[in-house]
Amino acid sequence: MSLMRHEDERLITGAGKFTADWNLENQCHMAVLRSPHAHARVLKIDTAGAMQAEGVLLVLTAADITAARFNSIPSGPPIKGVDDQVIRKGEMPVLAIDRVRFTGQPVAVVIAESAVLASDACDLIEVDYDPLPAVVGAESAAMSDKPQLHPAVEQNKALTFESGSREAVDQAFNTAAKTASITIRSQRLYGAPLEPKAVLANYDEPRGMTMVYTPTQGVLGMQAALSAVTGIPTDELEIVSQDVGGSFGLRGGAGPEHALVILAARKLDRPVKWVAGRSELFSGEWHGRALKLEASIALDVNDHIVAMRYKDTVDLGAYNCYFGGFIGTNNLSVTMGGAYRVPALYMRSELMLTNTAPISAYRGAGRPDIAFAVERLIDHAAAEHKLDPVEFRRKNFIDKEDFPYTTANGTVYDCGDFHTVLDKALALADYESFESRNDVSKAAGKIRGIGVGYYVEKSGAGAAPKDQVSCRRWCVSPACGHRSFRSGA
Amino acid sequence: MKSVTFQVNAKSVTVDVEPRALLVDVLRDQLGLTGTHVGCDTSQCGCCTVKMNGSAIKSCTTLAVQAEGASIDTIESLANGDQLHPVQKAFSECHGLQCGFCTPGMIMATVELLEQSPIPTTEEIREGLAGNLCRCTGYVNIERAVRSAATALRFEREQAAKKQGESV
Ligand code: FES
Ligand code: FES
Repeated sequence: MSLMRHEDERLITGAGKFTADWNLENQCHMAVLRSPHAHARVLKIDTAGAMQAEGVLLVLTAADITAARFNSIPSGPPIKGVDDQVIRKGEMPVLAIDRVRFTGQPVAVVIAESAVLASDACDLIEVDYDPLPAVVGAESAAMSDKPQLHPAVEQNKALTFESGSREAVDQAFNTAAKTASITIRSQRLYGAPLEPKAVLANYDEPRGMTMVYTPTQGVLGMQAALSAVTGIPTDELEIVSQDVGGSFGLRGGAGPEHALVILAARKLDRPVKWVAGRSELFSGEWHGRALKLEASIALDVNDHIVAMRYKDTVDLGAYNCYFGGFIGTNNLSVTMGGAYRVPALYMRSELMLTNTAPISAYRGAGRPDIAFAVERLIDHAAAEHKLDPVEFRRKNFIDKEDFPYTTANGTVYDCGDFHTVLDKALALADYESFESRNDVSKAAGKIRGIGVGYYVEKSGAGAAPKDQVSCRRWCVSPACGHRSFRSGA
Repeated sequence: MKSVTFQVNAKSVTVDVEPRALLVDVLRDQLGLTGTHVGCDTSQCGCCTVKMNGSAIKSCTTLAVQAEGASIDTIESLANGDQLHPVQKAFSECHGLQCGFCTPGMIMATVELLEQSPIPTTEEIREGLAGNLCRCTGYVNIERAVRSAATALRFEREQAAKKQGESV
């Protein structure tokens, strides 16, 4: 019998506690009204009908966010690109101010005695929109006929980023014996953890703490982001994430709904709960990927790789969100040589803003995408120039003796034994006998395939790992018996 | 508001519900049975699967008023005290769960599946769980769990039959 996971017992008996399972005394419920337009001016929001509806306690629009002095959603660090230019940003307001920039963007919220009453009342909010032409697709975002999304982002170009040496790569391509090119599209998607996004917030007055119950994959990141938006100091914000129904990168930081629930709880002096419907999340939640990678490789006469070059078109969506900027820059470039000795590397990425859901981290946030591009490029070059895909890889692997190895764009690989790993993988797949197995399959009218891929990734943020466990305010008097345990990794 | 009476986990309950109230919301919010989850609003994920009069149903697609007079079993009823149901045990032993959000629905659907097909083929397992989505596992270990539970249940049945034979 295998070992049971510690958490399994509660999860298989229905005793798990996901965010929607928390209920606090006297809680009320929030529903979100979202933009039906990809791009429009918001001329007027009339909330009178909603305010009068049954069970409605509060309606919030952008004016309330401004009055509360909340900041916009964190948009990430000042990443630098070509000529030291700092990324230009369109920051996402908690609620759309005078323009909506993607379908699903929050415009107003209703808080009512029940979730259905809140949702009913959302239908009574009248928003006067003046639709504008929309920018869809990063490749055409800079064209002169396209509207500009944000005043600070000319031609919708947030950043031109480069890594490696353009000159060295150009030179290598000019004198190469063979070249090959391929275009990889990493399609836009919504990560869809099975537990829908949810937040329950409460101001715990005796302790002076704002309690936020929400699924997150990083308690400290969530706390920092919410502090940045709301102005509440981090040590007065307590995040409770008991069971989390999947993250996939989407649960790293705060969204507008977290801030809205906190503000509503503060205004009403009651706990406020919001549990998203799946459908609203498909358009209203962060999206992932949305990348186009044009990859080229140059070989010498002995089929040694002499250079690799990438041209990336990166869709950031309508606003810069915290993780969005990392994808098209560091995360794509850091391992762009894969497992191979590549003397010259160059990547150039254009990060564009479009009228689509903002792009955030999803499962590796660019790193699987570049690994896929490298391996497709290797296979494509092998096919084009009639090379054996395994031998071609072996010939170009960074050898065991070469570690620590510094790539042409400055990444240090500390260790590796790519040959041995490949040997093991080929043995496990019984690679040698593939042809004979394929003959059998063919004779039976079936199609059989086999592929080789190598994956090198820089895990996490790469810099200083940080864990924090703290026990605070432990007291056992019946009035305030409370234990707080936080952990983030 | 309408008053509805039904059995939940072998206990009779009477609740006042809005005519449009969904069974899943009444189970979770009014009866506190939060083991049954809601993962979608389009009747696709199966997180809300419970048994109604012995058949697995999606409680998000059933009005609470439709439960009048019915007998409902939720995930909370499956273990017998500390004694886990063989399907629950198999999910844990075969690592048929990761985050656990889909799991109560998966387990309830599996219980019904194994009642219908005690020795299910791979096709029957896939067909039987086609209405349940899992975002984490990739289903391989869920299939293993279903097979392992089928074996365990068969063993239980054989033991019970033997015992009965001995006592006759
Ligand atoms: S909640 Fe998704 S099918 Fe019922
Ligand atoms: S275990 Fe996470 S959705 Fe199935």
